Amino acid sequence: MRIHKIVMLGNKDHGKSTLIGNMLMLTKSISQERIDEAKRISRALGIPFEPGFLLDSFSDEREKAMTIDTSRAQLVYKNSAFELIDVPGHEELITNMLTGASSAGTAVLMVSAKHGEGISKQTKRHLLIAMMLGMRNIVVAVNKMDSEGYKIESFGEVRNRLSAFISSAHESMGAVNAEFVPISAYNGDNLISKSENMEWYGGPTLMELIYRYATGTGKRRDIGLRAVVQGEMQGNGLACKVVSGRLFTGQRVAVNPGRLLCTVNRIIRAGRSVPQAGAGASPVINLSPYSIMQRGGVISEATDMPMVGRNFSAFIFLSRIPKNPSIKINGAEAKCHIRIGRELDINTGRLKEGRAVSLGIYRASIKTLDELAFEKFNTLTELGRFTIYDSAGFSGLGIII
Amino acid sequence: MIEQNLSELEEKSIYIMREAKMKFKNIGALWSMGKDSTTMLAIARKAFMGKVPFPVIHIDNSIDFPETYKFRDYLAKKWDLDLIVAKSEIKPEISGFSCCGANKTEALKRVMAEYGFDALIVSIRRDEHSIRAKERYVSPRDKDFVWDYKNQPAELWDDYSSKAKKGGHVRVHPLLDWNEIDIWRYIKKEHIPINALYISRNGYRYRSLGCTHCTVPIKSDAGNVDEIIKELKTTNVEERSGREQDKEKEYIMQRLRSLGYM
Ligand SMILES: Nc1nc2c(ncn2[C@@H]2O[C@H](COP(=O)(O)OP(=O)(O)O)[C@@H](O)[C@H]2O)c(=O)[nH]1
Repeated sequence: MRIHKIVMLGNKDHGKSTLIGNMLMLTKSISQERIDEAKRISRALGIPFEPGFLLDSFSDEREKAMTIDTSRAQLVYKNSAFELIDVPGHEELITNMLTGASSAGTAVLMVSAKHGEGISKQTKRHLLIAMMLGMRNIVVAVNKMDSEGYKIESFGEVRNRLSAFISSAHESMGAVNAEFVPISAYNGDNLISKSENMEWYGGPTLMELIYRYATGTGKRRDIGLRAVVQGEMQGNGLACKVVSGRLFTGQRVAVNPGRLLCTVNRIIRAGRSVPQAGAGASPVINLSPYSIMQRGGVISEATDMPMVGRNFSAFIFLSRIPKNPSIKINGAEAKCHIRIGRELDINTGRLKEGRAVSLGIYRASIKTLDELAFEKFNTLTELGRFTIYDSAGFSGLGIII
Repeated sequence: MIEQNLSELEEKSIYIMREAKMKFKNIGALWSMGKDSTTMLAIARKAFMGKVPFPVIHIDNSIDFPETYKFRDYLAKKWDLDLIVAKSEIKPEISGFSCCGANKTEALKRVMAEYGFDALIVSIRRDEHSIRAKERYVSPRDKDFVWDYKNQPAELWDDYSSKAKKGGHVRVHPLLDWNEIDIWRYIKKEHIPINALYISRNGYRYRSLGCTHCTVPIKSDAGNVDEIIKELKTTNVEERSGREQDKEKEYIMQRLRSLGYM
């Protein structure tokens, strides 16, 4: 079964862990043992049962009621499988949030309707990052409706304000579909079945929206063959990963950067020779003429090559300002210079003149020391995204536009 | 228990193991002769042209089951494995929680130092325990084997960039995405030999294997791999509930792991 990966985004304390915990219980996807354990711990801490404890598994996470790192839980709904990814909503833990979000195809954004909580900077930042990572369908779960007497006005306020923000972000980040659903993660309203507490809401439940978005995001666009070189396999050939199209024996291919023209002689998949390999496969191949291939090189049909160069425009998110950065794209690594352009204003969602600060999203032009092969993010996601590092480690990510 | 796409899982595990082999100088793998680490070796054979290209380490506390030793010697020969047996001493006064920590970790530390491994392949899965759901595919450990779970490096897309800090090593987790039932479906599909303890005898079988001191069998009539798969489709019991060490304290896994025990 294919598993649809869903990331839960939003400010900390707006109810992500509670939601996932309750969804697991309502769909009977968790053992009684785990539920009993979470109940025991809640009791020991002297608080009412926290469904979030089913996920937050470190003692410090439970005691401080704060998700520190990502965690995952699987459930089945209408014969489809989903993996819900919980990420920290805390500003300092943005790297962990990115780690979780990068593997998901659909996002649920949690916003608490509770008085004093509402839409925060962190809510908007998560939303913009999700848009940047290419998530075009976003379910907005307006949570804690119980603390606002399940009133339509509280829902309406969050919906109106966030819709306005999303529309102004369209211009720079592209359009997204956003659907809003009022819920109480704690009481279970509108999670799997319709709530009787909110008769005024006529739309689908949260799980139904997740189901529609995740299963409906149609087949990915396949451009021609694009396979990424992973490295030499000790004299046995070249390990690579097919990200689009199809490799077959006898095929005339080009390896870029460098425009090496070769023929595919042999394809070995999981130890066996096969005539072809499609997207998702990690075969070992023999090319003739043999030559040393760089990690991160892109194999394509000789007549249909990827973009190759040292300059490109990007949207980048910086978790920290890097010093002497390099970028990594499909295993290739290159020293680079990043020229920061306009900043995406976290308050308005529009581009404005800015200065590089951490936790910002920017338009940027990137110049690399070595030539790289890539695609625009919108053409082929896998070849159009990169990470940014410096000697102190990870400092951001980007997409090629 | 959700059944995932086996060939997707296999391809990703192959990719991760190749990444590890290319990035690190000196890799070792833990082999407990259990179903997960044996499956990992079967995948490694596919990833590396029929031969596991790294040594496999058995932390032997001399109180494993006879079946386990027999299976080890059988498969080591059949698959031509480069087997390292690291003897760990069981002190009778240490039991339960401290048993695995004090006894196994010490032996592992010795073997890591002696061979100078900079990366260790460990066959954990996310669905084993909620703490394991927080692991990275490539996860650094410091020189004392401590897992700094509060400060894990980023790991985006296929970019497994984490490096070992000075004096430490990285753990590589190629089976992180697999569910227990996927392991059994794969064992069936690939005809992977398994330890006899998983098969029911007199109404009991082992679902998760530790040593004779901390593993208890579950009630089961599953007499072959097909029946195990069938059993897992309907079970509502945690895989590791047969392990005493988990019961003892709520956060034991966290401690074991931060102490460096897998
Ligand atoms: N009243 C109310 N409280 C909630 C609801 N959902 C979560 N909470 C509480 O909000 C707090 C933070 O929730 P948690 O799930 O840990 O938030 P996270 O940081 O987003 O994962 C906890 O005390 C929850 O009990 C809800 O629907 N209604």
